[in-house]
Amino acid sequence: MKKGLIILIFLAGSQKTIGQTRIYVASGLTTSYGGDWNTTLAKTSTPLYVDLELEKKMLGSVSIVGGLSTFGVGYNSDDTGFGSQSSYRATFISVPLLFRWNVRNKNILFFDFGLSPYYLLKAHLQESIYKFNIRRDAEGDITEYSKRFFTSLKFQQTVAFNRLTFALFVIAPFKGQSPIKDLVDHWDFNQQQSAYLISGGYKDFVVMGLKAGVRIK
Amino acid sequence: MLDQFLIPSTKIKGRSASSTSLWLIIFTLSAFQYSCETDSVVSEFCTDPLGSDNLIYKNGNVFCFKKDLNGCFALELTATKTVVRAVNYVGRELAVIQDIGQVKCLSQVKEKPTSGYVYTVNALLNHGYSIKLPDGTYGRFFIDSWMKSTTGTVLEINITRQYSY
Repeated sequence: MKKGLIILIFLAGSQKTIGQTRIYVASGLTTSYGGDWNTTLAKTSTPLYVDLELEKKMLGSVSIVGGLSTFGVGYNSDDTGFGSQSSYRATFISVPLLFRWNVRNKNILFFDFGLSPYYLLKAHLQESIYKFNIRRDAEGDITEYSKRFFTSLKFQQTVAFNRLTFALFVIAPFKGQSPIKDLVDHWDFNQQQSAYLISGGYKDFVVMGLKAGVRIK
Repeated sequence: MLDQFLIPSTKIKGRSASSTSLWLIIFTLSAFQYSCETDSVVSEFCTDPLGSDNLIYKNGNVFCFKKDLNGCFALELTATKTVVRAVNYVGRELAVIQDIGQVKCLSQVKEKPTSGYVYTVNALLNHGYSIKLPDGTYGRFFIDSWMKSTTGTVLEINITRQYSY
């Protein structure tokens, strides 16, 4: 919560210093695909997406867009054919830096593309195996045993109606960014038992989402 | 009233900055709701070592730690005895065993004692055992759980074991 207040103060302060800037807030839903698991909205435990964008006009129809967004990813797999039953959810905060093309400068259709580094706020893992026909469970917050910084590309298409905006976006992390740090030394199941460890963590996924928002400045 | 608690207002094209701040507050609180959830951090754990296997044994069953060597042990599960004893097949030196004590899982059997080994030990629930083979290598096993009859006789023993460590 303390981190949230610091960012709030930073953003509130920064709005006074940015002159020709548009600010958008939006919220929506995300789901993730890929890696070793495919999930749907129903299976993703934390599908809520919230973001704040600051747009600064650069040249002609091109703007630069920065901001802050949070999104969740996760999976829920009951398949025990290869490792344990496994359920994972993680929440990230990202600071995208995108180029925005305002098509024909009409403020109706926008295409954004750029980098979106993100930081792991929280990760929760729950797994179970059957050993001697007895169910064994492992569950807990694995944030401190996970890597925190990741980099991704973000693509976004936005349609605007006056102040209202509707957008479709894709966040694609760079390949091979395993979230596992030293979880192997802190988890009840080993690399032959845990589906999460066998897979090298939840990685190489693609986040897709829809959001609706409003331009507040 | 709320404006008193917001950032000092500055007019931006007819909209007050406090209105924008209100949005920022809503955004920030929404964004950080996740991290305010309480969640237990993984602290206590005991992981089976890689390469270990889980086996179920009954009275008279023999389990071996190394082929072509006296590395085998038999279980004697009766109303009066629950023991693990070394088995000799070819008349050479026997493997020996030592009770390490109560542990949570096989990984906690870390010691390789140099002395104190015997040929027969009592099988005790949640105890770890170190075994020493005639060639000087070591194996280990852990009695994870067992099934008893209504009279209290152990019928099956669930063992996690590993060779070597």
